[in-house]
Amino acid sequence: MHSPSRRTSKVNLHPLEQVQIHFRGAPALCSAVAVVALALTSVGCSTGPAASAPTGPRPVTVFAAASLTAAFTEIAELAPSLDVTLNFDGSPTLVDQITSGAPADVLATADEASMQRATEAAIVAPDPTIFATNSGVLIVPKGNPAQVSGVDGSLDGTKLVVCARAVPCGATAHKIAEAAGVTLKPVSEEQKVTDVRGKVSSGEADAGIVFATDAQAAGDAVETIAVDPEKRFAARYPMTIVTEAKNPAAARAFIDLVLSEEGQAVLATHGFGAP
Amino acid sequence: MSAVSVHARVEARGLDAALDVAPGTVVALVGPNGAGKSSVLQLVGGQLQPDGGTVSVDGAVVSGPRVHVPVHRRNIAVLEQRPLLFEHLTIAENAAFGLRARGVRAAEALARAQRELDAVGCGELAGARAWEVSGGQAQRIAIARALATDPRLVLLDEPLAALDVSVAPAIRSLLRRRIRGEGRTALLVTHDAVDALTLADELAVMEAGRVLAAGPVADLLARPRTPFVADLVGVNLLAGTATGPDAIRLATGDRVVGVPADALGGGAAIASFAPASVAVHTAEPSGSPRNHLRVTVTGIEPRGSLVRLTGELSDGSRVSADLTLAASVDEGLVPGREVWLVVKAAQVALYPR
Amino acid sequence: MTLTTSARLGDGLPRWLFVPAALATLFLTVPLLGIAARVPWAEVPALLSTPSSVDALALSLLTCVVATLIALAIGLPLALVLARSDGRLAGVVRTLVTIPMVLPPVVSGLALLITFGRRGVLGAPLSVLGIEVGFSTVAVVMAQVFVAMPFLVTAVEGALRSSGSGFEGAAASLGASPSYTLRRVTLPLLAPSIASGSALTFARALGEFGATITFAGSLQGVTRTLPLEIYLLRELDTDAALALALVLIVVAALTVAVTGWFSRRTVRRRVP
Repeated sequence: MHSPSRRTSKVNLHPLEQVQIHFRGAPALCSAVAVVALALTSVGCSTGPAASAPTGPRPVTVFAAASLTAAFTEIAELAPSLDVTLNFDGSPTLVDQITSGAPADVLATADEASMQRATEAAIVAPDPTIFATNSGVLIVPKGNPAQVSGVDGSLDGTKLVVCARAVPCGATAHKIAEAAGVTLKPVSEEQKVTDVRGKVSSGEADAGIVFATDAQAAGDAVETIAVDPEKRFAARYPMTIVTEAKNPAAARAFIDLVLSEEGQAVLATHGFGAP
Repeated sequence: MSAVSVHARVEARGLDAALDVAPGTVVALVGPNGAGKSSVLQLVGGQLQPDGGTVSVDGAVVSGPRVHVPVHRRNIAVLEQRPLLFEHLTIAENAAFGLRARGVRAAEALARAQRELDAVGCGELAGARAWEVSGGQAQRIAIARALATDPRLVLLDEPLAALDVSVAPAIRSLLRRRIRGEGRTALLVTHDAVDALTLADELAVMEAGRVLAAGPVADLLARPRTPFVADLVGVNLLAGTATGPDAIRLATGDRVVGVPADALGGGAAIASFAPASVAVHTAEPSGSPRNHLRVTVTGIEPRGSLVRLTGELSDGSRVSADLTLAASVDEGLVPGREVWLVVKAAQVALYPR
Repeated sequence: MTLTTSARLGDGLPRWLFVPAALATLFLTVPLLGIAARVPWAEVPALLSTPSSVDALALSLLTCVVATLIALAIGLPLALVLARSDGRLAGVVRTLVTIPMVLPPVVSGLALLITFGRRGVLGAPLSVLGIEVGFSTVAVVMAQVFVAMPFLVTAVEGALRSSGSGFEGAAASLGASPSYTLRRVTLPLLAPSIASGSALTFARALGEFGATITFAGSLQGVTRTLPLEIYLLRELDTDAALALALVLIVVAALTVAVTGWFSRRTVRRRVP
């Protein structure tokens, strides 16, 4: 995602706070604002004005994989004691952003490789928690015009779209195919899982392999064909606290919230599997 | 049979022209800007289509109701101010262009082109490129290029207007030799009396989209009947009514006496005289000269070593007088001042309108 | 360009103007230098010779050449017609055909998808006939022609308009038919602007990304052109992405140089 979505659980914002949230992804501008903010209210950029009012909700900034957008936005609403600022982007991009000094308290990625890169760079705490899984599924356009029956011979001669092998959803697709003893002959290998879904939901492609969450988000436009649970090859979603977190306590509270029954229920409604 | 016959209307340009050109004749079209001279050329050349009437060349209709011979099938050469040499071709290829376009083999076309270039004095430029030659050379080459196609008619639209004054005379004499001298039929648009006199056999005077008068150049220039032709030859022209064998009365009531060039009937007549023959008086002249006209000075402008004074009669008609710079300064001649213009009767030509 | 003692530098302009001018220069050049600084030069040959890079390069060159030829075959006639037409219809057509030039690429892709896609306005009937362009190299070329051809049309039409119709008129009066005039006068005189317009078209086609990824998909050797390959590699193998980006920058620089050379050559011809 090139234009990361940012949300906050609080709607009525102090003008200064709005400015800070607005500038949060851009470190140079952010520190410029921080200088001004410091001079005015003696608060830093990522701590937020709430730090000077300890009785209000505690601020926490969460950097999360784009596939978590809907689920995390909903979870953030569950905790009135937390003032959650969310930043969504591709997992590798999030790691790059935190490495470059972006102010984050929590990192949640869609794959373990990105998280491993972050732990190796020591920008996050070393023992991430797996909080959700996302399994690969086969989707077809509404009505299944090419009459695909699953990851099997029925895919031959159809317009199958998958992610590129180097992208998590592509790796998963090929693992599923290998387990099923099928060689995929895709007509396109996309960079983004949303491009796969778009080409299936528009009917341009006959079938696609995406994550369960993407299939869920496509609603009625696609039909999901179940893959043998043994051969789903779910991606595991880890999350942990950022080393330089300004609000470690609030970060811990957010992680606990995600792992709580309530949080897991929200994740399930969006297609995620249990850890 | 006329070589060219134009009897055509073009509504959008207010043109309703009638003109016939005899074979081997060069006709100069003169008239003020917007009179329709270039439109007549475009009608003949095929760039303009008439709304009514016909245009014929050598007896065949080329433009008319349901007939329009396209430009490239008319075999009519056009020369205009800009030589329009093709920049991507050599001079020889330019001169050979018309023949090549007609399917003549390259060697033959280039040989003919070389002869035409030699005839305009540009033979040695054959290998040059169009952007390497001077303005005068370019116009010579354009002439060679046009004549290489053996056109049945040549249309010249102010071919000398864009040239340097030092170059124009040589091109003028080249055109005289190659067009008039070789008996070609041509139509020439010009604003220059010298062009008309040297290049044309006949004059067609146009005004407001119509041909007012046509005839031998010498006749029309000798007895200008329209202000434009009078300007062209540089004489004053006053229109009035004959009141005797050697006198006319102007609309202002002034009487002008002169020498009848043609016998005056009883009707409309014209008096013409050169500005150089007019004397300027700041007070009403004594000794009652026969021709004196009271005018208001409207303009004073230098003209060579002289000063040309323009005065307006009470009815708005204009008279010019040439005087020395010293005289104009001494007399304090400024616009707005009233003066008397005096011209000797022997220097006024009278003829019927 | 060589700097000599006689080379002018902002002749007659106020000195302070150099500050924003220098800022603009830096802003436009530093990112390019940034790429040059990060490119692992020693590994560039190896990075560019991987099968996926070679496929992307070959596919890009092939499709861009074809797209440019198609633009010449149909865009050049359009430019000629527009340059020699006036009136409301010509004005409307002129505006419509330049729109793809300023459209966000992803919008171009959507437009093509909705038109030529399997369920598109034209795509659906074609699909019935068994003709489907989606996910094919043809779709890549179509996307490139759609976004790049307006550059050729605009460049050539502008040149033809400003040069006027005097030369064509002269050719006609010399007996040249319209076809002969087009072949021997109009097109040769337009050669510099056709060349620079084609260079621009090629460069735009080479950089085409959004419409391709939306409309054609991304498959090595079939639809994955250089920009798509760079996009894919961007997060996975930064070095390879940078090496390929370098190729695009070099081609862009060459294109600008060729265009500039042609326009200088034209100026020299017009002003001896």
